[in-house]
Amino acid sequence: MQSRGVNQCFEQLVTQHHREIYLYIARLTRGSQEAEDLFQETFLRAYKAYTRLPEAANTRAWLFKIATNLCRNHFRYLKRHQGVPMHEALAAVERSRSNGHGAAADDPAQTVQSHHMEQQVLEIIAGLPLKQKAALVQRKLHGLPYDSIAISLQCSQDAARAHVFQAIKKIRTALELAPNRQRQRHRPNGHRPTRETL
Amino acid sequence: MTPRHPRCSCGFPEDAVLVAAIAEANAVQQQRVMAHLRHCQVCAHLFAQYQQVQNVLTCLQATREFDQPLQRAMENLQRRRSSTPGRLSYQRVTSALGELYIASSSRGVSLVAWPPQASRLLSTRAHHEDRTSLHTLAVELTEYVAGHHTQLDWPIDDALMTSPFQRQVLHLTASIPYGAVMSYQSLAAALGRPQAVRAVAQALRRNPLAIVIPCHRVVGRTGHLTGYAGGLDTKRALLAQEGIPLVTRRHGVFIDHTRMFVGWRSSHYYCRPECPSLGELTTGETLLLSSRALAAQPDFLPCDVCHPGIVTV
Repeated sequence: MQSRGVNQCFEQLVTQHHREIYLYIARLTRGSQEAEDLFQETFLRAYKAYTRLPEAANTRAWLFKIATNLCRNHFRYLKRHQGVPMHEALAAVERSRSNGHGAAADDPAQTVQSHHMEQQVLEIIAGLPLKQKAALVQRKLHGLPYDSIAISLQCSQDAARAHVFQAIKKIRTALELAPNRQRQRHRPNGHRPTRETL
Repeated sequence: MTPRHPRCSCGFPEDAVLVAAIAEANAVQQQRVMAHLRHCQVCAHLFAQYQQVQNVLTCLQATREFDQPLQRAMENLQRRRSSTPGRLSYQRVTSALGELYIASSSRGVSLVAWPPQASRLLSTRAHHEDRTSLHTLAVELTEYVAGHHTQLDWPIDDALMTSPFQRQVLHLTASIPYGAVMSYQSLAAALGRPQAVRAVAQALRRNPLAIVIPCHRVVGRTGHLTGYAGGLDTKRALLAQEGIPLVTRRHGVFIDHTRMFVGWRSSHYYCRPECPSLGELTTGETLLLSSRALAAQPDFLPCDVCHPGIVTV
């Protein structure tokens, strides 16, 4: 009887949160193929641990916490096995710029430009440290309250807020730097900027 | 060094501008920032940039592109969940090797372990004591431990194994026959990961199915019994019962190499313990077999050098 009750509660939890948890993982991993595995693993782990969860627990934050920890493990695995370094925010912008996205910025079509900027921001977010990335995604893309973010990241609310602010500041700095460099490249006297002048 | 609370060149705190631009400020803060922005160009520029970031983030909330992969992920999740076993029923068994716990799920036996490890593993799942349905298993186990059987043909549920690697190691260990031993190194080599000797040992240490998956048949390269979850005496008793020759030396109990046939898992040859070719071969996937009868199984051929099949009178 009890087991059936637990199962029903868990079913409800899955129905309620599966969408946002999937989106969260997909956003943290940039929609890679691992997102699906991590999503399944999150709910399988949650199911295993569900009976031990206290009644009053914030289940939403708890699911986000499991998802974040699994993503962290995944990033660690990638770092160790594929030699992919955790990108720095600015390095990500550098890459997006060299991909030729810069040219689209001059495009007069408003939609193309905003799409370009979204891609650029996604690129920058991908390069943020995990805590900042997780806090930013939870706050700004999922609209979670800071107390919930604090639980899922195992930090204080102030720290969670600081992570979000830091992330936004980095995005602004990176965006500000990117178009400026573009402009310099188009200078009429043909002077090519060196690394030092940037 | 970056100051802890960076300020704009005009002296106004940057965080206040940020909070107002991303719509997280309260009314008083908002008013204060707006009043400042009216006469400060630098801060107004900063505010506009933060607002732009906020707008982009709002646009990124759109989720249509994820619909299809989400549906697929959800279907797979449901399938995996229905294949995960539910509650475990367990029973305590008093055997010649002390008190053991045995637990099974709808898929098969998932746990045979001594108390400390058993209670730790059981706590990860919903479980309840059941003395009736596990009675047959309990009787078979005590008879096996007492030496009446040489095999436990039970369906196994590997749900309590923690990683794919551990499953791989334990499934391979399950193929070591009664009366044979293998070294940790050979096991790692047989898995195709000769460097993973310690990882193999750790996987065996956490074997949830002691005795059923014969991790006691894995010993050190020198033949040293090293360790066992149920205690070294238990490992010694289990091996002795299978007819494996043991010697006690100054540093502990060892397998007696000189009295064991050597089987090569990859080439399917077996040698006498004194075969001269043994010295030349490197430690590969070797199996140490306690008797000629065991070595002469259908899949093992006698070595051409030592002719282990010929019995000298």
